[in-house]
Amino acid sequence: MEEQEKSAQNFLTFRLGDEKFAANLDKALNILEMLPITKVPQSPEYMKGVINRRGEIIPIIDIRMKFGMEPIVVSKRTVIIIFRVEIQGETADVGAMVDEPGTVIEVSEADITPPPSIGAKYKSELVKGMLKVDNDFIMLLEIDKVFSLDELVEINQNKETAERGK
Amino acid sequence: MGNYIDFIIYLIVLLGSIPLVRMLLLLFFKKSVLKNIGFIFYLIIVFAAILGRISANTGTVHLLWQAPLTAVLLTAAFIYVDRINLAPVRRVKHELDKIKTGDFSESNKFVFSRQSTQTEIAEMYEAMQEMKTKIGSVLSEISELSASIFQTGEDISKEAQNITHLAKEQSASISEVYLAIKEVANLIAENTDKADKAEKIAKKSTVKIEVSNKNVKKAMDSLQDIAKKVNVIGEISFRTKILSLNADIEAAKAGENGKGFQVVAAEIRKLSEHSRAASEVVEKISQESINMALRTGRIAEQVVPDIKETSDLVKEIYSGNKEQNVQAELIKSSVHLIDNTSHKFTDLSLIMSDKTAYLSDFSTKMMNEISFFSFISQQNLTDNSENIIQNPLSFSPKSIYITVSHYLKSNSFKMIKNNELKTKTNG
Repeated sequence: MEEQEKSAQNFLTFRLGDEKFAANLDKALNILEMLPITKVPQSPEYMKGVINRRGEIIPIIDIRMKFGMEPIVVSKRTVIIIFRVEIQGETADVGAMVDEPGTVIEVSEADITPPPSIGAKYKSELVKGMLKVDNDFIMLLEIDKVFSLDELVEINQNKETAERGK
Repeated sequence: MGNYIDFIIYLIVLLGSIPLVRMLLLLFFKKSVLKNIGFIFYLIIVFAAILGRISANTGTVHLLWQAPLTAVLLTAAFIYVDRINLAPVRRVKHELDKIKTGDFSESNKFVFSRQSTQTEIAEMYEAMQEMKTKIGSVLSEISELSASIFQTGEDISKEAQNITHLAKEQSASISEVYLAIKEVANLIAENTDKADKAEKIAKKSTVKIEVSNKNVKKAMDSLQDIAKKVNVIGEISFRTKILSLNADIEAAKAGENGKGFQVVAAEIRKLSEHSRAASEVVEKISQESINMALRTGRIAEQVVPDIKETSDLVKEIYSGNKEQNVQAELIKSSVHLIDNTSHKFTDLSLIMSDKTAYLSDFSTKMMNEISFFSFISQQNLTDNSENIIQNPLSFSPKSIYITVSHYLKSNSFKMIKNNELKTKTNG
């Protein structure tokens, strides 16, 4: 919270398909190389399964599908970024599969612009703004919203041996 | 009276001896003129004997007219003999005189008196007449033949000239062919050498290509090794990057205290990015190299059988050439033989030309000789030699001679003469 007040913020970038996205660095917990994902039956398509991280069960989401892209195809560069999201006061650790990890960038407040309201490619509530980096625009994601409540409920339910599908 | 009886007996004996003498003369002289002459003289002797007897009986006074009478009788006898028995001799002489001048034309047959036809002279005349007719026909035939010999000689001469010309042309062509064949044989021999060399080269290149193929395969293996190693490097750099990102995340959580660490993490990340980029380039290049090596290998593999096939083909060409060489040598020697033969043929045709010229000369001379004789040919009035004799009615060796001398002046004959001269000067 203290960092937000500063003129510059750190962001973690990654690639989904051909597009670059960014998330607040403090939302990221960890980056993992691809590892075996245990599939969960009767879960939605974008829900790839769960992994075990130091004894903790973490659901893995294909966020490409959240943006209406084709389902992810695992490659050498595919990584899982673990985010700690806050949904209605509750925190949860969620893993997002991305095509390639980017880097950590420092962007000043001035270079963050609000998202274009008309003709947005993706759901506007998921895009927090645009980062202007070297004449290039990177979509800054509202990570908390990307993993919506419904899903998390699902996730939680799935965690406790899922019985109900959507 | 006794005298009369004696005289009558004497007369009977004398007259009776006449047929005896006739018989004897016929027996001894047969067809001789003497037979007739002798008989006439005997008759005169008998007459003289009778006259003598008469004068002996009557007295010598009668001898005064006896001698002139005998003389007259003798003269008459000689005239008779001359006219009747020796006439054929004069005819023979006349005919011989004609023959002497070469005149064999038929004259009217002389009809002799009965007495003379029984003599040898008459027979001689008839035989001579027959001989003259025969010689005349033979001469006319010879004349015709010599005319046709001349004509044939002319034709042969022309043909011989043609043959000489053709033989010369042929000889020239064959010489050219011989030269060409020689050239061809040389070229074939050269080709054989070249094919031999090409085969050796093809064999060498097959070996070299096989070696290079092996080398390419080795290079490919090495490249694949490199690619694997580079892959490992890429993986390591990727992992390093993730590590640096995690470090960054941790540093961010540490707040102000993590600032320094964040810088280090960023540096590590940069390095990992560099190494990743470098490894990607290397990977790309090595992949390209592998592809290239693969392609090269494939091409080389394709080339090897091609070269082997080429080598085999060249081998076949070589053996084919060798065979061709043998055949060409055979042709060469055959053509050489033909060349020699044609040269000989040219020589022979020249000789023939020469000889025909002689033949023409001879036939001309012969006609010249025959023209001395004159005769009328009955058979040849309808002969087919009109091209020589313009007026068949005036056929005679002289007319032929005129025609021949006309030929002599013509160009064709001159050419023969020239050829003759040339061959003589060449010879």
